[in-house]
Amino acid sequence: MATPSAPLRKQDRLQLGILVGPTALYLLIFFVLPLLIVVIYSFLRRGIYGQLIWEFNLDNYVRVFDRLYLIILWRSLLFALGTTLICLLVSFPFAYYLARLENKRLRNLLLILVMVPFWTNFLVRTYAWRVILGTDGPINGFLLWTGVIREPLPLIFNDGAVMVGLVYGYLPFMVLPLFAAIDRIDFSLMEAAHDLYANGARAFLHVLLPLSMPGIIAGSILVFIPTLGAFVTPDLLGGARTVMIGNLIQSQFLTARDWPFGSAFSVLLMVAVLGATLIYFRKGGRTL
Amino acid sequence: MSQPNRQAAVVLRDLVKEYVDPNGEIVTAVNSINLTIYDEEFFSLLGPSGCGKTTTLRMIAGLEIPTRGSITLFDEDVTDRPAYKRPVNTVFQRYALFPHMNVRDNVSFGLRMQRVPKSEIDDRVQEVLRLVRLERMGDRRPSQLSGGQQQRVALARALVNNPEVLLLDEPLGALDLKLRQAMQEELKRIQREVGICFIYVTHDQEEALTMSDRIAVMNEGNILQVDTPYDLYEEPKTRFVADFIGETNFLVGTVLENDPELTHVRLDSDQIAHVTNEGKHYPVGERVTLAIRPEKIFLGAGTPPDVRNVFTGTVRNIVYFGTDTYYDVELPGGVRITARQQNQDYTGTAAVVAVNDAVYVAWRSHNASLLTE
Repeated sequence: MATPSAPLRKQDRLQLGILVGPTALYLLIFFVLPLLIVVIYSFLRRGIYGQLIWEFNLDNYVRVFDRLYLIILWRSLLFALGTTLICLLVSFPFAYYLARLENKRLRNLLLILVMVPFWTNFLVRTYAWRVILGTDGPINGFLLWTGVIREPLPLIFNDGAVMVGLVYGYLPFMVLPLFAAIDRIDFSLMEAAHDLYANGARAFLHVLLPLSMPGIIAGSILVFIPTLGAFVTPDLLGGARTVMIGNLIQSQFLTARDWPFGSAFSVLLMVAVLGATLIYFRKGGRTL
Repeated sequence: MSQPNRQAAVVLRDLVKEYVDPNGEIVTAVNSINLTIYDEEFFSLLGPSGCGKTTTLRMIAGLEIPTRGSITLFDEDVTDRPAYKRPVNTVFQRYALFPHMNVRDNVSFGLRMQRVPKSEIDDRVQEVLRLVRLERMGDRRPSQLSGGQQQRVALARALVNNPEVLLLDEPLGALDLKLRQAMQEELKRIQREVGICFIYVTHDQEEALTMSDRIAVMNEGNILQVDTPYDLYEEPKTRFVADFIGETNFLVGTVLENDPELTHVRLDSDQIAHVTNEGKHYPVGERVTLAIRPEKIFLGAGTPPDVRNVFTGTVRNIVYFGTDTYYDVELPGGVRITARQQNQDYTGTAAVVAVNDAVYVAWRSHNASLLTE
């Protein structure tokens, strides 16, 4: 066991350093350090002019539990869960179809189409939704033209519009891991299930779904986390009442200039996400 | 071959399966086959890859929908019944065990889907695991089992449902030779114990010969011959069957004359061969192929035995196989014949004659078959 000579070990360590070093250094400077600063700020106090007062206290964390903020937190959670669920329901049939598609060229084309939106800036795409959903937009225009409606529908600046924007924005993050997971499944397993008296629904429930779990978990995490902290989409598509945690944190930093309170909220958000992810992983781990 | 005291388990009538290939052309995988398979029978579908044997099996299982024709299971038409409503179960080629379930859950899957009471499930699973000798493996995952063990789980998972017919799609193909032979015996034992009809798909003629009660040889979507292993080997009806099962010498010629018992054939290399015709008379002048198995040919340098067909030739090649030696003999006119001699006696040399020696080759008239296709 312990025979590899010392020089070899040194070489291994060097190799490790070269491979991991740059990333580790980058993350340390641009991720860990700012994170630490945020954590420290969250225990400080805001001065009258928005400056930091170096006085250690827990007031910011107490303030978070104000009813108003808790409602926003709750709404954000619902938005994130809803988005994740809709993305999952929309993506699963599509990912399944892709995985079973025998025409590999069509399959690659569809996969590229899923990724095409990434070629355009997220902000620009969200603005595009303002045009599509707007009062003078194509949807209202078409419905007015066909005579289905007489007045334009209020499609924008409400919760529904935010949901549409969020689902649109994060759908690819669900499709890709789901496709990767379903593509790995041996489809003779579904035939075996049918042969063993399982109809379509039961074969799906007992075989396809459990075997797709790695993809469902990965996709859900990739969608849930960014939507929980989203602020661009609710800002551009939401109404005056559609405030999510992301908007709250943003306004604390930029408008209210209350960096300590914004930091406290950020830390809580991170803890919540981390907790939710851990629970999800553990639950998923059991079914795998 | 009629089996009057047995009930028909599976009857296929004019069964056709066509599909459209990627180029948009219609391909016929199974070409209007008719077949009756009896209860308690070990029946094999034998043929090269792409002959339609697996498609036929999958249609019986309900995993493939026939284009035309009908499938009857114990007098019940199941042609339009989905797989999950048919009282048959399949052992898949690469087992298709559920990787997210342990052995017990894999085996009990079919019973759970049929909503069999829990207590009964436990008993039946335990019983079938005993049958396949895996009693202690219930908690293992498929990935923790050897190939042979996975194979037996697949078998148990199908048998636990007490199917009326068990379908096996090249179940031993993924195993190495020794294990395959052991599993062949195991399968025969299990078939005798459960006493149901097994339909076995294989491309391995030796496997089919040693295990089956009857075999259907398939090629290009057609059934060429259905017979017992013995009749299939000794009396092949077509050149394809003679060639696919075992090894055969083919000598092409023209019918010269028919006696009451023998048909005389002038080979293209100008020798005259005599074949027992069992009363069947071939039109004079018809082109025929004479098939003769290598092990039925006498070969030597001395005086030939007293048989009807004796020819002389020159040894061109000798291959030593341990149990046998193969002699490749060239007859005048360029025809090649392979003769196989069992090495019954240790003589200190691999062959009784040497390359380029002049030898006789001889066989009895009833050991050759005449094929017209």
